[in-house]
This record gives sequence, structure tokens and C-alpha cells, in this order.
Amino acid sequence: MRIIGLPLDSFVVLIVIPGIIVLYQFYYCWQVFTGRRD
Amino acid sequence: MTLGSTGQLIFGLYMAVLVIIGIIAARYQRTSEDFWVAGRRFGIGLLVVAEVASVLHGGTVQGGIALASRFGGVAILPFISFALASLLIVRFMAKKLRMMAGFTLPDYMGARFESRFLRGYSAGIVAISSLLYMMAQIRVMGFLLENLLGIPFTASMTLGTVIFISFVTMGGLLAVVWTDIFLFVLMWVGLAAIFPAVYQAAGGFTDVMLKADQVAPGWTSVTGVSWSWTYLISWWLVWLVGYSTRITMITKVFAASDTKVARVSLPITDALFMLFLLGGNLYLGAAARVLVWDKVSAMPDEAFPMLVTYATQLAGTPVLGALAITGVVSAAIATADSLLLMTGAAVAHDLLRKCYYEPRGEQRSERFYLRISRITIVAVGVVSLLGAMRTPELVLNIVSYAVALVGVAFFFPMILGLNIPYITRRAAIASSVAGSVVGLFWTVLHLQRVSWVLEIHPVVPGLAAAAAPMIACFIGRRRIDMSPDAFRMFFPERTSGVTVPH
Repeated sequence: MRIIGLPLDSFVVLIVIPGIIVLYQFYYCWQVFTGRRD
Repeated sequence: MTLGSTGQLIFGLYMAVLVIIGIIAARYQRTSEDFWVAGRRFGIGLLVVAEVASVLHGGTVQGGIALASRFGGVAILPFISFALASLLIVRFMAKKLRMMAGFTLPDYMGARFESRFLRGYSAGIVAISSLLYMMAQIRVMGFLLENLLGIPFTASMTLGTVIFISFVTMGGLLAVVWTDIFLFVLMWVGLAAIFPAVYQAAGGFTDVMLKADQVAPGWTSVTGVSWSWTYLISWWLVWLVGYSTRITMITKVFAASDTKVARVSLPITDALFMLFLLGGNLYLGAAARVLVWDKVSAMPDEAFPMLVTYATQLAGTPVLGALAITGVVSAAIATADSLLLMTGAAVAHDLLRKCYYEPRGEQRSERFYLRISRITIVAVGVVSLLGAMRTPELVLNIVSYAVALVGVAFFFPMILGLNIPYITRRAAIASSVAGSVVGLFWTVLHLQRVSWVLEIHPVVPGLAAAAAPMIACFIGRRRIDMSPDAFRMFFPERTSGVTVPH
């Protein structure tokens, strides 16, 4: 199985896992920005 | 008009703009704080532009395409490392670094561990690493200008270096950031310029991935065409450690207007950086493997210039190719200027001011330190140019050694020192010295091509050596080895209701 031409494991390593980590950072920073977290 | 003459025209205009920016920024330089951290006035937008411009270096496109086309696009892109490193900075470092309001990474090492030796040693590491890194950027400029615009290699490197030395010497970080805005736009325009012709020749993203796998089985796999899992994991480790201690990023944190801005800018930078690499390394790397690999397999560093030439011929206009080259040279200059500033700060601020003049009680004016800073920057720029003329290594290899050296010296003292008060001065010194000495020794063996050494990147043994003193800190008797002032500066959350040590 391929997604955008990449094998599934490559897609997960290259897009999915880094994407989740970056999204978490945005969530964390949003909390900082809105004052919910110091 | 040919690619060479059009490119020389565009490049000439571009160089003139950089110098003009330097001259204007020079009028705003009064103190060291103006020069090194632009008065700490950057908001999110400006900080993101400055961070992206300094992180995307010349080797990002030119060296990245060389490595991707040779080894495989997924293997050489350590996105996991970039994302984790950015998370470590956002979550555990940025706030306290901005709160201490220093200028440089050695500033942190000196203040947190209250050690002049550590400050001086760190400044030495930053200077050596930045020099290596700068040499790589200068080589990229020379290589591209020679291959595509017909300017001789030595003259190209000299021209580029003289320009970025000029505007950094005149305008400090302010000039660096103003030029970064200009360079940032050029990088994206340059990348976009080459896409239509490559798309026409090789197809869309999915098509190119499939074709790359056909001509080089395994190209899109996680380990690429030839890497082992051991090498891949050490590659990820290099970039995790390297990015979380990236000096060009850390300095930008010092220039943020407050602790929130320092943190919020980082994930935006991270996302833009990865987006750029998906196009600039993965797609173009695959296209290079499909379209021009038979011509460049012996010299992979030529994959990008060859792709530009190919796309320019196909598009029928030299302007697009000239823009693409100017974009990549912009990336090299945008990183080299930050590095030059860092090296200058390490020598002028950390070594001369903090380790020599101030400990001797010699009071010097801001004007004096500003002059010292400028002289240092010129000297460092000249040394890096001379070094660039004599190194044969692949561009991205030079960068990975430089990044590794900083990483093994600073990773544990930074991430643990900022968050755990009982990391002692002695442990930090031992970690920093052991890590960098072992890392450097391994690098020398790497460069000698010792076969059993090549499988493991210098960062792995370096990091193991750096970890040992820190582990001893956890196992041994836990004591806080900090003055009350340093404790309050780095652990303000623990001072209320707690007896400060000493």
C-alpha cells in the first residue's frame, strides 16, 4: 500500500509521527499564548 | 540572454540590496545589545522569518538533493528528529533561556554553571563548529555560481563572503534579520521557480516517487537504497541533538521580545522548514534521481546544478534558473550571516569581554566592544573563506559534523541544566569536554575513512561520553551547586518557600 507514492511505513515515519509532534507543539503554544499555561 | 548572463545580472542586483541593508542597519547600532540581539525587540513574525532563514542553509537544497538522490529521500530527511528537537526547545529550554536574557550559548553555560572555564570552552566549540558550518555555506555559493553562472570558484566564494561580512559587520543582528526577510522570500521564489519545468519533465509528487523507486529500488523506503538501521538511527540522533542545540536558533530565542514569543515562533518555524524540505529535498531529490542521475552519479553534489540546467533548457527561459540559483545562494548567505554573528559573539563577547577584560576589572566602553565585535567578524569571515578553499567534503557531511560537535558539547548541560538544579558545575564541564573530545576524535577517524568507524556517526560515541558524568550526578549524592543568584535566575519557580542553597 502506498500513500502519495510513499510506502506506508515511510509515510508514517516522514509525515504522520512528525505531524503529530508538531501539532502537539501548536497546542502547547496556544495554551501559553492564551495564558492557560505559564 | 543565457543563464550565465541573466544570473549574473540578478545576482549583482541582489548583492547590492544586501549591502544597502547593511549600511542602513549600521545607523541603529549603539551598544552590544543592539549589535548581538537587536535590542530584544522581535515579535513572532520577524522571529519566524529569522529562524527559518538561518535554519535553511545552502546545503539544505544543494547538499540535500545530493544526498537524497544518492541514498533515498525518506532516509535522509530526519523529520522525526526536527519535530522532537523543536519540542524539547519549546517545552524545556526557550522560556528560561529568554528569561536569562543572554547573548549567546556560552553565556548560558557561564551563567548557569558559574564557570569562566566553561564559558570559554563553549565559546571555542561554538567558534570551531560555526567555522566548519560557514565553510560549507561558502562552498555552496562558490559551487553554484561557478557551475551555473560561470564565475570562477574562488572568485565566487570570495565575492559572496565579502558581501555577507560587509553587512554583518555594519549592521549586526538587525542587518541579518532585515536581509533574512529578503532572503526568505528569495528562497521560496527560487524553489517555486524550478517546479513547473521539473513537473513537466518528471510528473507530480506521486509519479516522481514511483519513478524513483523504479530506477533505484528502495529509494522511498525508510532506510533508502543503502543505509542500515544502525546508521539511520544514528543519523536521527545526530539531528535530534543538533537541532535542539542549534546555535542559530538559540540566539534568536534571546532576541525575542518575551518568553511567549520565543516559544510560539518555534513550531511555526518547524512546520515551514519541513514543508520546504518536502519540496526542496524529497520531490527535487527524486526528480534528480530520475532525470539526471546518469550524469551526476560520480559527483552527487552536482545533482542540483544539473537539475537547474535541465529545467532551464526545458522552460526555455534563463530567468527561472537564475532565480533558483539565487534562492539557494540566499539560503547559504542567510545561514552564513547568522553563523558569522555567532562566531563573532563567541570570540568578542564571551572570550574577550567575559573571560578577559571584565575578570581583570578593566572597564571598557560599549563603543570599544562594538569595535572589537566588528574586527572579530571580519577576521572570522576571512578564516572561514580560507578554510572553504581547502575542504573537499560533501557539503551536508561538513554540516553534520559541525552540528554534532555543538550537540555533544551542549545537549546535556542545556536540557538537564535548565530543568534540574542539582546538575553540578563539575558534571557540566565533564559532560561538555568528554562529549566534544570523543566526538572530535571519532570525526577524525571518519574523515580517515576507517571502515569500522563509518557505520556510526560521531554523535553517538560523543553523546555516550557526554551522558556518563550526568548519570553520575543522578546516582551520586544530590546537592545543589549554585549561588543564590544563579538559583533564582534559573529556578524561580522553586525559590518561593524554599531555602536557597549557600
